[in-house]
Amino acid sequence: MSLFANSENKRQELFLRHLVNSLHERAVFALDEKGMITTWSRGSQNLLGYNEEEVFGKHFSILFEKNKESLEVALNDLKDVVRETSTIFERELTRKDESKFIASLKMDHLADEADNTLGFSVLIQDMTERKLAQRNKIELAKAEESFNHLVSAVKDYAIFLLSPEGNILTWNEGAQSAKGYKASEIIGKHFSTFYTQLDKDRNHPQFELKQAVKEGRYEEEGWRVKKDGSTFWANVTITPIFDYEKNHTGFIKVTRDLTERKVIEQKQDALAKADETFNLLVAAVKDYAIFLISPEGNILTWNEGAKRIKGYNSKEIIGKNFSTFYTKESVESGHPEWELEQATAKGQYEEEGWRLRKDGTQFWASVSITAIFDNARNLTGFVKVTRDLTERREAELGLRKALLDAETARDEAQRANRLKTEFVATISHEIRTPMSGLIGLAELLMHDPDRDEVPEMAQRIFNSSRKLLDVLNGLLDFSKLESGKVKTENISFSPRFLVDEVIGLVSPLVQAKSLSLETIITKNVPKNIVADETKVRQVLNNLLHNAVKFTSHGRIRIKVDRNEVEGTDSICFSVTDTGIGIREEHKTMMFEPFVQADPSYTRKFGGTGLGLSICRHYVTLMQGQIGLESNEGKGSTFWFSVPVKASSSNE
Amino acid sequence: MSDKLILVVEDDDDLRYLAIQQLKKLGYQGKTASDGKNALEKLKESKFDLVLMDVMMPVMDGVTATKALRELEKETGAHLTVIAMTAVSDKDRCLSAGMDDYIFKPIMLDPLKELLEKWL
Repeated sequence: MSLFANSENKRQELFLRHLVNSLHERAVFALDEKGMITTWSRGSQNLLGYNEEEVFGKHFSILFEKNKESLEVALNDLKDVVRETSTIFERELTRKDESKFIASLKMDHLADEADNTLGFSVLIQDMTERKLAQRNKIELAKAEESFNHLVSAVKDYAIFLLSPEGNILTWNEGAQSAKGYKASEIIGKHFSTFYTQLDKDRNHPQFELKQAVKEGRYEEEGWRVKKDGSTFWANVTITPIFDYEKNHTGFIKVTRDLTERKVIEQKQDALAKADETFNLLVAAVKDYAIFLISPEGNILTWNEGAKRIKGYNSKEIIGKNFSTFYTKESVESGHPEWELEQATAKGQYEEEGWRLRKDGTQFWASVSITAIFDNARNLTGFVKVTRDLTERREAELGLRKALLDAETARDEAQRANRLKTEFVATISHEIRTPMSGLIGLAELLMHDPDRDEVPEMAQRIFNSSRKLLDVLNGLLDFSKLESGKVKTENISFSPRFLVDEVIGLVSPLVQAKSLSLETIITKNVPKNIVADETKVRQVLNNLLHNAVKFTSHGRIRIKVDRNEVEGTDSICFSVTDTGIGIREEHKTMMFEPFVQADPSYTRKFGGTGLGLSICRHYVTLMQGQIGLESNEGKGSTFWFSVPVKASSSNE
Repeated sequence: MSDKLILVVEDDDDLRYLAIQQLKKLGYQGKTASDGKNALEKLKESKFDLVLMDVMMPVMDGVTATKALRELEKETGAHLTVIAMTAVSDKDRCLSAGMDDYIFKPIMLDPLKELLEKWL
């Protein structure tokens, strides 16, 4: 059936057919009043896969899914078209190869003047791509919206868009908190606002954008400036963005404030550096042993000073307990552990004491132990610093000894001085007494003396002269002894005779004081001995005179014995009295020159204070011993010994 | 010959003898004591007009003896003249102990005579 009956119509029909066929991407065809396909354009073949022969006379529902429902859909559609004259449907169609696609169907009702249905025209367009594009567009819009929400909500990162020139287009919460600007203050400004003057001067912002375009991304860390002028350490990434046509549309800039991290890093760096420097320093210190020990006291580190002072190298000592440096006694008494306890309790412990070197020698150490705790107050170990003070200590001791010596010397000098003053007073008394006798008696003799008294006066002048001479001799003896000029002269003599002789000298005095005098000479004393008789006599005489002088009642006993004195076979002479005795504190100085137990004794008892000193000198010259025992108030025993050299002829 | 009795206190035997001879020469009677303690005993036994007192003596020295004498005299109110026979250095100690005067050793006849006439 033809739509145009006449030739003019035929020509128009042909034209239309060409026109229709020129639509390559769209299907254009006609249906009869029952829906049967009557024309089929080239575009129809392209779109749906069927050729003319395959579709002519077929119901157009073949384009729908091949089932009953699709037929109904198609028939209902036709009814709709009849009713509406022109309708556009969107339907899923099936191609000859059974592939499906979304199509837009524009169907027009063709009718005569009486509105009798002549047929339908159908225009089908493939909607797949447009549909997809539409869906994508919606989803993209949705995604963009979510993304914008996300970006604006991000607080830790400043995220914003820049125009290709670097002007700020968007602003998020993170940007506001990082840089301090509100969106209204900053949008439209150039992003170099955030850079330091130095960076601006060297065109760094522009460089960053250029790099980002060139490399597809730019990242760096650097100082950036906030609104208030303060700087922060930022991690910055700049990513260029392009549209579908690869046109450069701008940049995404993401900035993170790393100031805190930077500060921590700097601190850590500084700490690490300080640590390293400190370790080098400690290792190099030579005057101090500085090392770490574990809470248990095991040595963990070792420095140059420790090596020098203690003699161990680090390999030998690390891991050993620090008590290695302590003396045996100190370790046994638990002192090293005690030191650690003290350090733990008080934070630090210090002392000076003897420590051991590797070679076993000791040194005087100044030790300080400091406990180290972690942040949780757990003990992590100790720092031990030891210094060798041996030299200092020796110097100190030396100094102290020197001071002490000087003090002693000064005391000695003062004492010697005092003794000399006393000595002068004593000597002058000792000289004045006989001198007074001499002068007085001589004066009496000159003035018409009583004839009967003259012999006695002469005798007393003689006595006084002898006393004076004794004093002078004593002084001479002493000065000779002091200058070391006295020698011994050994001869053989009888100790018994010598004792008798000395008693003879003192007996008038003994009788005058009504003292009793006894002599004991033991049988083991040889008949004759070899010694310096003069000196033995002088010493014994002196001791006996002292005994008589200081005894007012009782008896005096002279004893001669043979004994071992300090391992030497000796003859011992002793004189025991019942006199005033000598106080304990005076005993040691009795034999020193110019000394009398009490200065007042000089006045009471006379004497130069040289007697016992001379005695000691003599006895020492004879290689003997001299000493005394005494009880104050009860009496004294003075004794001396001379080594036995028995005379062979008289044994 | 004076009837005054003088006590000579002196530990040295020769000087005791000398003092007695000197007093005899000057016309005084003298008795002796060998030390301070002995002197105090003698003073209890007899009445003396003056004491010549040595200073440095065993048992009891002259200063101690004089102080003891002065203590005893506080009960009776008496005052016996005590003269020190001393060295220059002891003078002040003697006077402060209660002695009345002093004479330096060696003692010569003239100064002794003068002293005794002054006090007796």
